[in-house]
Amino acid sequence: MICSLNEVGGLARKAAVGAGYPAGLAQSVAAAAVWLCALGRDGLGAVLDAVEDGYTPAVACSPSPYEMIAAGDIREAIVDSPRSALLLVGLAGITGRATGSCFALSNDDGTTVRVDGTGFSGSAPEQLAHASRIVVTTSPAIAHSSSGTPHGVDIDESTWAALQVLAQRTYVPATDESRLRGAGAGLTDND
Amino acid sequence: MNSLTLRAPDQVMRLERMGSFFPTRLSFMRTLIRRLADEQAVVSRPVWEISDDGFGRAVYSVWLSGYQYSLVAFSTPLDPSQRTDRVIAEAWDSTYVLFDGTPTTADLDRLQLAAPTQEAARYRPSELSLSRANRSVRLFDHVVDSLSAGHQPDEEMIASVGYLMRTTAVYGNGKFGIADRSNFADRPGMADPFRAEMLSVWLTREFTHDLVEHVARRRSPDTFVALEPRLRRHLGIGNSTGLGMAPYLVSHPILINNWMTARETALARVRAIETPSRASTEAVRALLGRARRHVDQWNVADQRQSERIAVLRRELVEVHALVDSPWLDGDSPWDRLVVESSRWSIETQELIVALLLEPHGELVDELATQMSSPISPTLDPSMTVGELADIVRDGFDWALELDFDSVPETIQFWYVSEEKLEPRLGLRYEEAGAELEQPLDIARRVKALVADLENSDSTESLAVFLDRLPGHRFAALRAQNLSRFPYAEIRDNLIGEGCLPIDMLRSKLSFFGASKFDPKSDRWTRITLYQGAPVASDVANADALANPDDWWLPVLEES
Repeated sequence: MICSLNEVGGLARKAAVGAGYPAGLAQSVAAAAVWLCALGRDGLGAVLDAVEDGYTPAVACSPSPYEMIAAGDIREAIVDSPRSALLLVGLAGITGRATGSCFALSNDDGTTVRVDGTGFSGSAPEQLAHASRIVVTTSPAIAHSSSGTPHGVDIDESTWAALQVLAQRTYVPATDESRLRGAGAGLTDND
Repeated sequence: MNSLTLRAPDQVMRLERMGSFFPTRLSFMRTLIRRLADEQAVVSRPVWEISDDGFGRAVYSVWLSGYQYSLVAFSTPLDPSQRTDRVIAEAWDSTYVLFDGTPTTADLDRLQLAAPTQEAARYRPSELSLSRANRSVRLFDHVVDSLSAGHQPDEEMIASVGYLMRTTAVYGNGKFGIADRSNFADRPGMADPFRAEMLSVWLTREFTHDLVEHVARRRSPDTFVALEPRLRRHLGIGNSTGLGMAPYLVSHPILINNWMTARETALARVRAIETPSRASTEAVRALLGRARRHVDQWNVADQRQSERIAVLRRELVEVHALVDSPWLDGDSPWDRLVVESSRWSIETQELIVALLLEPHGELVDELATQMSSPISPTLDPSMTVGELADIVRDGFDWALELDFDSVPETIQFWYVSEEKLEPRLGLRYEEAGAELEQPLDIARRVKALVADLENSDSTESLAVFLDRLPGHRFAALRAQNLSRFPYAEIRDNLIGEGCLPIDMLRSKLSFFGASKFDPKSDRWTRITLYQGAPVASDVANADALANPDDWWLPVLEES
């Protein structure tokens, strides 16, 4: 199905919250999904991989490794058993956009994806998919072409449906009381 | 010129003041009409397939800054029992799509199946907005009866209702598959906030005018008369706005900052005028007279707003006396008037703000170009914990004084209902669902953040702090954002007992350009859009109106 980037971001954020992610981290996950989809990658699939087993702080996908590198706190970060290597690329992208930094994400096979705020170069991000360990370092500035904002992105319907199930957890069940009181308006308007 | 001093965010970003805003010449409807009039935009109606009783489809096309946009309108029968302005409605009198370019017959056929179901269908990036409108049955029928019988409708009814139809939702920016705003926001003429939605509503108003005349003409072709132009202009589009608009102000902090900054900068520029021209002084006096007539025609059932209007009417007499007196003749009269206004109600103070901007287009209109925001808040991870704590103590001092262990400061919670995802507000200690509340509790989150900032090494980077305490990321981002965007935060507790969502709604709607706020509760209001605005034939013909930009706080003048 064809979706807008705004829908991608909204669904990703709600699904992450529904899976137990704190609100701020869910915003980062959503921004990473949009960043990936805008570049033609499966950003929502990455979110589903990352959040479908719930939120465990120690292994959650987070922009923190990139932020600590960008802030000069560390020179290298190691992410063991990432739930979604692709989402890590997206999180590197949004951190690169915010800080002007460039990152290199490498697995043990020597596959390296270089990421900045506007895109990536080197290996395709999907080649990191099954990495048991990803090493993150800073990267020299990278050269790549940007294709601009897409007009709609093609989303796998089963991914969409699975994320909707998680998003549904953020909605409050309807009651007669909430229907009448919660919105502060009547149920018919024949003026 | 004096140096510019903007009113402080502590003064401006309070719910009570935001809930007293009036439309200004920077409002989005005003900027659209100025653009259309400057370009003498021509609206055409290439499709009109409407039955004698007013049902069918129509297309309105207009060129704006080199691009063509088309409103596709569908009018359908509606059982009165289904006529509700709530998001939970499932059928409407009319539905609309703003189409990018010219729709083909195949597009129209596809949209005719989709648009009447609104949120239940999927749309394409060729669609820029999606909306619906219900009739004011009373006024619509009255106008049909009148025109078909050969006379004009009752002017008091036109003035008191103000619209033939009211929109109940206007979706944009990617909803249900329509185009992301980023797809077209860099086009000439489309950069302003909500530009596609504002264009859609203006064309919708044109459709309602044509529809009511069509039905009247078909009922009695021999006796039919057309609406007088001044009555046509005074028929705007109604709008019902509920809670859904309130979270928007919180979830778009940079955008809100830019709206407020433009407005406050405009005010500061006007206040800095030391010696105004005679023409601008006379314009202020004349506009104040109009504002008083407008306020006299502003009658609502809501007790709170009704009392405020009564005070406003009384105080505007005093304002007028002052503005008409030699008191105004000294230096910097507009600055002195703003200072003097502190003795009146906030509603009067804010009307004076809007009034003073009105005759100063040459000073303030270019600020409209600074009211959009293509960016979202981003984190500077190298900022230290100590630096962020300083920002919070400075910008959120009001929040740090609140007791979030108390019932009054936490009594409300914002949530999204599973019923068509309608945003609602609940009572935390009486209703279920508080564990699923939306993050509008900014003050509470920032206060919790501060507690942990103060227990951390002040030289630690925010990156390390948030790696340790990821639950604070949301609040940290907002707090840090405030240092660059001082008008980004509403400086009141949005879950406290004092929070009235109607204040947030009015603030946002004033930036749209709405007037005649008619609250139906503390979380729901009706308004009128484009009342008094030029119609399509006015903007196409530069000679039709002396000044197509002169419709601030409109009044229905006698013929």
